[in-house]
Amino acid sequence: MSKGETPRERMERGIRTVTREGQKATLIESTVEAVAVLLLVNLFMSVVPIAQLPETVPVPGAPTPALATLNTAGVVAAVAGVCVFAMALRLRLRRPAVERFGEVNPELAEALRTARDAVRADADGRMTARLYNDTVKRLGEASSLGLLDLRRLGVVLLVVAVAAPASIGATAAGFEVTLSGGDETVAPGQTVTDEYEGLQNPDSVLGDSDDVVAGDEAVNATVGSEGGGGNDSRSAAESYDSGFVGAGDTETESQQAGFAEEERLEDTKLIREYNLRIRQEEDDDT
Amino acid sequence: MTDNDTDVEADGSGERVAVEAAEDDVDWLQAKLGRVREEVGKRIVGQREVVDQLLVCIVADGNALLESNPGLGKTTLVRTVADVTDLSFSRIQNTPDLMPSDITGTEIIQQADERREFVFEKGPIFANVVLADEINRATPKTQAAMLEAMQEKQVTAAGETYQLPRPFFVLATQNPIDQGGTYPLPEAQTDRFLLKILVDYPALDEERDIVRLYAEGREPEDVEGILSAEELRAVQSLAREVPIADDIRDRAIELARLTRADDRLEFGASPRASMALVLTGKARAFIQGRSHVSWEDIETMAAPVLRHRVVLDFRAEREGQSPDDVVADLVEEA
Repeated sequence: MSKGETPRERMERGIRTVTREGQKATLIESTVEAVAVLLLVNLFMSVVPIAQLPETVPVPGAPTPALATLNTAGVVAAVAGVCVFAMALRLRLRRPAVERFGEVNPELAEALRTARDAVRADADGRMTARLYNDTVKRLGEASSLGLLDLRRLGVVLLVVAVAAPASIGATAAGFEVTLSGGDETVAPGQTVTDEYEGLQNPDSVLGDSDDVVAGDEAVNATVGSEGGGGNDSRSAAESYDSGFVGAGDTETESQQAGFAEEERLEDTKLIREYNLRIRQEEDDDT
Repeated sequence: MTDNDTDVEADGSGERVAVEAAEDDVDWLQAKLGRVREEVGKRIVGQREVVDQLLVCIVADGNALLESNPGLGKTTLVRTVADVTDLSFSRIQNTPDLMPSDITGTEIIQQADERREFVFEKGPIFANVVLADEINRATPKTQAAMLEAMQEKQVTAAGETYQLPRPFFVLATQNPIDQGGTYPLPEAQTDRFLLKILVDYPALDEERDIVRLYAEGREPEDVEGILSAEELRAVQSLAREVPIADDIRDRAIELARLTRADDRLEFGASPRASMALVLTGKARAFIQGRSHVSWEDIETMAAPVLRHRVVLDFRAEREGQSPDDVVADLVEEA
């Protein structure tokens, strides 16, 4: 109690303290919820990439080249987190702190609300002064811990604890793939392996089936015979790019690659099995 | 008012000292009200709720209509309250031939020193506590005179206005079963009573105690005058100052308004009922030793404040509902 402070001033101070406690609780809960949403969105976008979104988004006017682009998943997660934070803050602050404090301290609720209204109305009678003193005294014995919904907070913190390592792991995996330097474009969250993963549906690999027709354009082509460790230092790719193939006089007939629609996946499996057996037999013979 | 009268110091802590002294006064008066209840309890066995409601009525500076069957101690109760509060008491037994001047007073010719002059002879209404027994037996004209005095707290006779003593209460009684030859109070006049208090039969143990107290040779215990008229006025003033939260006040108003929209009621309560709810809520809070009105105060006072201000619809009446049932439902709704 400050010296010379009137009951009303003490009450005003008490109400300010209650308001501050309410704001603190709101900030803590909203922040934790926003972090949980950020992590979950980041995790989701890392695991299930959205094809329509680019892998990274450019940052105009970035101070360093390292910050010139940002991971899209991270950006979306951050935006979701900020939105949730703003929404949670707004929803919670919509109810006055005095009412929320009264809910967790029901024995004080009516006195506190009455004192708050009396302060607003500039009331200063004998009974009002008594109410102020009584309420301030009881405020000192009250607890603001109840302002935090501990059960809800615990659940959200658990989500954060689980989602944080998973989200970081998923994001790190995405970076490894991107930084490997390969020509392949790999979406974040996808992993590239050299292992054979089984036969795939030809429709998904080759696209729509088409009738196989013979080419009707005749071109002259020369097939080089120097390949396979000759003196020519150019690589096969360079030779191809420089027009080495097809520059000769030999007339060849090109044919568009294709596949027959009726060759189903089951047939392909069968053919593969035959091939493997034949190779096995050849290996055994040699 | 008390031995530790308010001292205001000249320095910065003067206001705090004054507030603390005022708070001591409030505590002291609230303690006295507690003692009033104890003293009334010496003569009145049981009926705690009735005594509490009567005290609320007195603290709120209102008038009460007590309804009960005969022989339930209404007169003893009112007389005891008057004795304990150290107030002047008078009783008017209403009958159909009672004239307004029998209540308010009349001018008489008085002779002094060979001179004759008209002098106003004050009637029984000039007392702090007036018990108007069986008010529904008086003619409407006499009822109107009494209720006007009750409302205005003054009497006009032969062009002169006479102020009634303060504090002033009319505690009227009526008998609900013997309606022959009675003049029921119109709704507009019952609205002037702050509370309608129902006095019910005592419980078995209480009735046994009543018989033991009054019918076994012992004289009823004397009661002590606890609260002076001046102190009672201070209590009334403080009770009006009890703060009430905006939301509780709004709910009390909403409760009164709901009586106007309910299908079970033919007529609802007037804005005077809203005021009465808040006022009695404050008085009850003060008596309970609190410095703010709780919703519980309004809930408790809702039935005595509203039951005589609403008129039940005949369908609800046929279904056996009472005004108290409807009010209880509306309290839940408000």
